Amino acid sequence: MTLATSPTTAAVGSLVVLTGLIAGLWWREYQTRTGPIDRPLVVFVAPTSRLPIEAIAADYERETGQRIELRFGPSEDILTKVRFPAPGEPADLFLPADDSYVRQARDLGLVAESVPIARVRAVVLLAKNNPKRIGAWADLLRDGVKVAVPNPGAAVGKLAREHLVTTRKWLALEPRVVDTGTVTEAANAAKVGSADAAIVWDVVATAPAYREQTVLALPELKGVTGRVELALLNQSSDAPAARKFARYVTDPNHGLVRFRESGFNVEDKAGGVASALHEALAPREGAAP
Amino acid sequence: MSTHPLPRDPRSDVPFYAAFGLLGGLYVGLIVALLVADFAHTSFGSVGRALASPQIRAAVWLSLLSSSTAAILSVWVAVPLGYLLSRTRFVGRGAVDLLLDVPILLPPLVVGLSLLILFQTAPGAWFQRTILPVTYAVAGVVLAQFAVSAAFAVRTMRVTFDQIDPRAEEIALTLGCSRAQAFWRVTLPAARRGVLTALTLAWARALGEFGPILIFCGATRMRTEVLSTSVFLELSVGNLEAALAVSLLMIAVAVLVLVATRAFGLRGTGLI
Repeated sequence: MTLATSPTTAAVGSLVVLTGLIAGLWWREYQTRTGPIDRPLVVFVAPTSRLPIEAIAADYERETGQRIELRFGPSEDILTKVRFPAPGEPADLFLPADDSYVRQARDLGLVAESVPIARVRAVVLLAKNNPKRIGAWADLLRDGVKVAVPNPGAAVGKLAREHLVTTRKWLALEPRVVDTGTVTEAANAAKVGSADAAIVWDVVATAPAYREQTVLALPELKGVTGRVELALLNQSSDAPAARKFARYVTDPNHGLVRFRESGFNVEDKAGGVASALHEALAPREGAAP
Repeated sequence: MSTHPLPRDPRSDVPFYAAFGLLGGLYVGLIVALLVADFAHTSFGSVGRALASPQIRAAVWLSLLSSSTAAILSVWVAVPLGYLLSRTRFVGRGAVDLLLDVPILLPPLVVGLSLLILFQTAPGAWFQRTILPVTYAVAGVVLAQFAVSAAFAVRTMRVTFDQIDPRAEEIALTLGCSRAQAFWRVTLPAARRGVLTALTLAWARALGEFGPILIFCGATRMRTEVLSTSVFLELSVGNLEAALAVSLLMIAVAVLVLVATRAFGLRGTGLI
């Protein structure tokens, strides 16, 4: 087959196709477009909380009709995005992988309130079938063992390094360490077998995708803990609606059930969390825009 | 002086071609090994499950629509820009030439971040308020794809026009054509295969675009999620099987486009 089309035909044809494509994109955007009345709540979420928050958002939309728009990305990425909200489209809530990002957001003056959801602790996720027969900390230090550790940009990587340096265990482990970008990349390295073990948050290690792998909770990592926190952003254009959804997320009979189902170590005082949120935020309700 | 060619032993070519074949074959082998590894770690069931997901189907449609839009827009920009760079000398030509490499050389995340910052500036914010919202919107997906794919299309069109002898165009001018007529009737028809190559490259580049889209438009399911962000979302929860299935879908689509491109007779043009 050869090209025998005249330039005019090709140019006109391309414009017709382009018009059709733009119409298609416009129609697609129109389907999901929201006006000022039914504006969705915008929630920036780290992928580690994707499964429970998707289920919670679906439950909430079904029960209340309020639309929830979830925007996923690595914690450092979504932190950047809440720093630079799109004009006329501010974010309402922020759910990063752990509380270190909430602290950063608070330091930047972005957070109105935050509530804890679950505790996370560092564990060792082993490669499938554990070919190196790792069962204790000493096994990680053997020759030929590769241990994936997220880089210090990820909270678990930073906290694990700091803790192991303090407890004088880092120097022995360091030659076995391979750096990965994020906690999920470390877990995936163990899943595909490119690392023999990975230091990750327990909530990542117990996710359904890694159910065929063994998880070790080692005393050497006991001090490496963090919290999953939901932050209400002060840029929210509908703070009452954002608070209402935040309460639903931290309700022991609703949101926290989903987090527990996804393997999160939800705090014992879950009901207290919801109450604390209500008490912390209630006085502002009247003043909210 | 004698002009007889030196006697030549055809057997002496064998080591040469063997060495080159071996070196080149290493890379070809790597590509084949990658594809085989992908196929070995997935199944038709995984691809079927991926396609059964409404989110993935939405991502497929958005990918096809947005990549095609970005590719056509890229060609509309690349043809005039490639022509000007190839045939004219103007003040700042070197700077323009250099600038065109920026989207190619910049890390993709930087392109996304730059777009995000651009639309926070006063003119960008005005544009979004009064003309078209692009941040975290479908239009932003097309813009992020266009920002990178257009640079590849411009490079292709410049090479295309460089390879076309300008004498035919000059003859058309002496026969009474205007510059526009000479371009439209002589140069552009001669460049048709280059145009199609630019379109194909821009489309393929747009399809594979990830970093700028993730930064600039987010990964909102059913809204701004394209195939590359689907891979990211599945990887982010350790669902390697689904991520691989979506990757294979992208490979299949890319191969289909390349086969179609060759069917249009681009083989042997030196461009693809």
